[in-house]
Amino acid sequence: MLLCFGLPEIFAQGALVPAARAQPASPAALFVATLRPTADAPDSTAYGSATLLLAPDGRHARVSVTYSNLTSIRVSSYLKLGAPRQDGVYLMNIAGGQPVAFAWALPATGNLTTEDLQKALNDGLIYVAIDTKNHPAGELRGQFIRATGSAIFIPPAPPPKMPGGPPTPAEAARFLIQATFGPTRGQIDDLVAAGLGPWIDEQLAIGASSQLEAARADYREFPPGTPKPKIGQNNRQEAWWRTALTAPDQLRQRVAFALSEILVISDVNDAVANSPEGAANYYDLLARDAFGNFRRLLEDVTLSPMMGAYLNVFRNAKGNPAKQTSADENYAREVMQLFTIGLNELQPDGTLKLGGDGLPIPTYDQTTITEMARVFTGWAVYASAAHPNFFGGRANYIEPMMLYPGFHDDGPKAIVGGVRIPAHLGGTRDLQLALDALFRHPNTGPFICRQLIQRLVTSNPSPGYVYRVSRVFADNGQGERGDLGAVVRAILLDYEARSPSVTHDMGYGKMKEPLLRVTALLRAFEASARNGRYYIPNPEYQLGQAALRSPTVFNFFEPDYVLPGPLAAAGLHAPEYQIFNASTAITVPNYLQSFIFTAAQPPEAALVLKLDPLLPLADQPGQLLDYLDLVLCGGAMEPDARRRIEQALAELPPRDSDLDRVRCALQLTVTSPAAAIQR
Amino acid sequence: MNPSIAPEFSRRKFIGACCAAVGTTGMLSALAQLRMIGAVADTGTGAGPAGAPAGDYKALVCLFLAGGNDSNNLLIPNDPAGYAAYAAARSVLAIPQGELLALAPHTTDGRSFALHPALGDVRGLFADGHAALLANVGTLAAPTSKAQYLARSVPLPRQLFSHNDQQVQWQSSLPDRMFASGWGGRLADLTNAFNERSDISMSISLAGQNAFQVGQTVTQYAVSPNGVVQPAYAGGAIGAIRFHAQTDLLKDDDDNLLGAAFSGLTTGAIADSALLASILQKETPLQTEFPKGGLGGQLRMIARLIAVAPSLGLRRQIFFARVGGWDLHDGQLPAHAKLFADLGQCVAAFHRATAEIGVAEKVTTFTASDFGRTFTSNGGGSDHGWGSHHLIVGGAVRGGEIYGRVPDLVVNGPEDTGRGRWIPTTSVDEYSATLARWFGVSATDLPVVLPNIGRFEKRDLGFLG
Repeated sequence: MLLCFGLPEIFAQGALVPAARAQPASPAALFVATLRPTADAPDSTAYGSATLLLAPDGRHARVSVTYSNLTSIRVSSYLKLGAPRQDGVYLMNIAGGQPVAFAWALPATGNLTTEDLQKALNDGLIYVAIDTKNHPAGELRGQFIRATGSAIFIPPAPPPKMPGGPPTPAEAARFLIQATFGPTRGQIDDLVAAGLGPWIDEQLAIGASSQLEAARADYREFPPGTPKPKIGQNNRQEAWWRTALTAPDQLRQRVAFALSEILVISDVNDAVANSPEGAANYYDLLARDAFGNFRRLLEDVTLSPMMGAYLNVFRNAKGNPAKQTSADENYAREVMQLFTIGLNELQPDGTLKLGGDGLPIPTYDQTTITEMARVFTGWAVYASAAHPNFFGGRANYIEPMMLYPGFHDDGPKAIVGGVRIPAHLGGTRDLQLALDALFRHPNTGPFICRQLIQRLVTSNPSPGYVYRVSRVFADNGQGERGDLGAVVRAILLDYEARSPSVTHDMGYGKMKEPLLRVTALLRAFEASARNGRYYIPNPEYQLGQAALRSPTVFNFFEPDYVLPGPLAAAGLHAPEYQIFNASTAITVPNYLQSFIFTAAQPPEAALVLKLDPLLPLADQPGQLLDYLDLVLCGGAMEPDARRRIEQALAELPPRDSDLDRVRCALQLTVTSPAAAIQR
Repeated sequence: MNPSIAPEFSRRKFIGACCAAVGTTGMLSALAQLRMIGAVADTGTGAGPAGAPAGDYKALVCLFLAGGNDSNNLLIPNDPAGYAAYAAARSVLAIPQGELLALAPHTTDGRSFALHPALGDVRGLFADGHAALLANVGTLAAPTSKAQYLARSVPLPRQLFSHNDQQVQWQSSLPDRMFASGWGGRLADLTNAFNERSDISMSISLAGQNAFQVGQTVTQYAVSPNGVVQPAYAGGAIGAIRFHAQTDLLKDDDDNLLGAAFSGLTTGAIADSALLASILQKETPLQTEFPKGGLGGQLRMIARLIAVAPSLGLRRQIFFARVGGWDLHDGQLPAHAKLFADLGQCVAAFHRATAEIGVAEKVTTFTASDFGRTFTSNGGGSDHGWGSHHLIVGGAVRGGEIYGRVPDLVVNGPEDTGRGRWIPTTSVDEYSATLARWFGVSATDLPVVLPNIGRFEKRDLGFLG
């Protein structure tokens, strides 16, 4: 899987090395950057990709940058040095035009030597930045990170066999951390008794809890006191928390949550904000389709009026050459970039497929987007009227969108993957063919499977893990492609999810996202409020995230996020760290703590933990920590950490109550690294 | 202090020595410190710390415009001949004359000048005498004429027209040698003796680690422009037990890289917020409103830090702020207008805030930038230049004047190295020396802060009173 090139050829002006003639020399190093809009440009839907091929001597690099869909005219592009969100040091202006490829010799500049630049590149500190007229301080940027890729695919070796037998409580807890919104002591015991496979079977059979119904029930039970009351996003958030904390279809809801972070809509968008029921219904759609077929999910999402409003398929009319209008390209771009195939061709194990020049191969270009955009034309609000109005009609954010043939572009189209759609097939057939093409694309399996693994198990699955799960996506064993239930089962039962030995790998696991840290605490101790509500309407203030409320279509964090430093140097991505900043580093543990140290008589809407199971253990620190380690850390707490907490308990004054003791132990556990990182 | 930079990298390049003892290393000897204190008494700006009058406080705010500001559109010829030549040479970049904001400086060399239309706030400050402009300043290793430039018969700054190199040289004022320290760092080393206490550094950056504030003894602190979030702390003995345990749990050596990142970042965040909270604990909230956005946030935090200086025992403070986006190779006109509007509003708001605190004449803000830009356009924007005009704002500024010399703005003329990259007529050294003199450095001690100052004519350009 190493890149081998004759050095003079690749670094000569513009020459390419034919694959057949590649001479084994020492390897060059490939770095890839995914360009995404900066935090200061949330209105931008620009995207791009950059590659850097570093010669073995570390003193020459060939860089190429492509980008598209800037909000306004490009002002400058650079190579810069700095961490994400920082305005870094200028290294080099990148000349205009695009795509652009150039040589960079890592020259000393300012107070940086070539060695400094090499180390910075290795540490994930070199990035591409593109400034535009609307965003002169930066619209697009992306940090370089080592990438693995190959021209010829060699299937990864299968993993070792695992011993069978029932899971231990720690193994069960670890599983539940991956498969639910947080383990409970009772659930752990049930799982040990039942076994993991049967538990999954049972969960696959349970139907979806409806957040739409829960939101409506919450609104009925707790109507706002305003003059013109209507259901709000706060009711939808209540439904989310209620479902996460209490619903029996935990696995389905957990997968729906993962899907909501891939197939993103957000109530930051006005249309979504004004339709809480539509948003809740969208979430229900994800939950209903979570174990079904991906092709079905893709179509349901595409025809969802919420997604239509969010990414502009809704009322997207065919282009009018006379008026110089053309179809909106937003959905065409994002359905490819984010929902199915991604920007670069992938091997079946999720690694990059490389061309003869040693560089990644884009999956599509701007022409593809324009052609795909023509497919998604003519869809608007469902209406049963005899002559429905494409541009009007009563808003309906629940029913799937309906085709208005007059507004569909019926010409022939050359879409992704070389597929040609003939003319006059009609909007429905065109849409089917386009979604089929995306579904069948070899990228879709690894692209989606890798992200699901990232959301459930570990941020950096090995190529083997991605390969094994993608093969199940390709064929579930009964000849069906896209069986998400089979995929979820494969993810959770894989060696890399279950083996105890991988937990010791230095790059294994992930930081739990803040919402899941909170649900874990509240579930573990059966949190409830005296008024029966699960009311946390604005979690984003403390936690930096909330369901269906991400700042952009790129979710709260990206699959390829690079955290400069040892993680980047090891070629590891760290998605959840994108929302870990100086503020959330403190507000998240503060928020967790607020549930633990409550007033004697909390308000009736406050969620209160049930600490009864811990009280008898107040004077048995060992058993107390066993319990907390199990339900909150999956049994992964290190002995040193355990000793430190026991020491703190020993330091507490003897007159301290049992409740105070267990609260202290609970606070120290839930804010510790062992509870924040899942392995 | 910024946890997001790989630790080994940042420590080596940016953080100065942490040792608190003065005079044990490098260029600063205890004697030099005493001399400076004594010398300051000579110039009548106040005695050393022991007898410093309560009112003796000064702050410098370096506002770095990253990318190279096209100051040819900051200060624009407004007399008929001057404007005509400007418009002809700048073509698509020329601002329509009807939109310009005419200036009426107290002294004039016969030419008229105006400001960019988005700089209304700056014109107001200029008219009130609180803002001055310094023309055509840039990095110089020695006074340089065009002939000398072409013949390379005088030393020239290294890597002219390179962003990073020029940014570092503006901040170090050492254009002809390897970077070792910033002039703000050297200034802090020299003037820290004014301060009663050093637990909070007099050098604070709102834009992360920077070259300007690298010194030998005074360490720069990077502070976030945003407010402080403190860990919930119960207080009392039990609270302390829990707090110490939490801190220790974050120190655990973790083989797992994700865990280590979590611990490191959390520890860093807690330390940063504790620092800022300790700084701001005696704060009275400011009334002055600042524009939204990065620069407004930085200047607002600087104002807050100035307001609490007495409670920190600080009589001298140096701040660094930074705003990017000036490298306008294309799409220049609309982007530049946006940047200027924000700059003008922020600088005006900051001046009002210093007035609110009662230190308007004790705080001087000055701009700096990699370089100016080419007088001629490349079609949509301008390219890297050399000499540029800068802005100084504060109550002590002898405002309403244009200091230095605006070039004749003749492309390929005697001051042009090509496309209107003007050879600076004033050096960064002279600019910095004026600021350092006002800050309390005696004329004889200037070379400690600005080693090259002896090569230039002026040690004080006169824009501070």
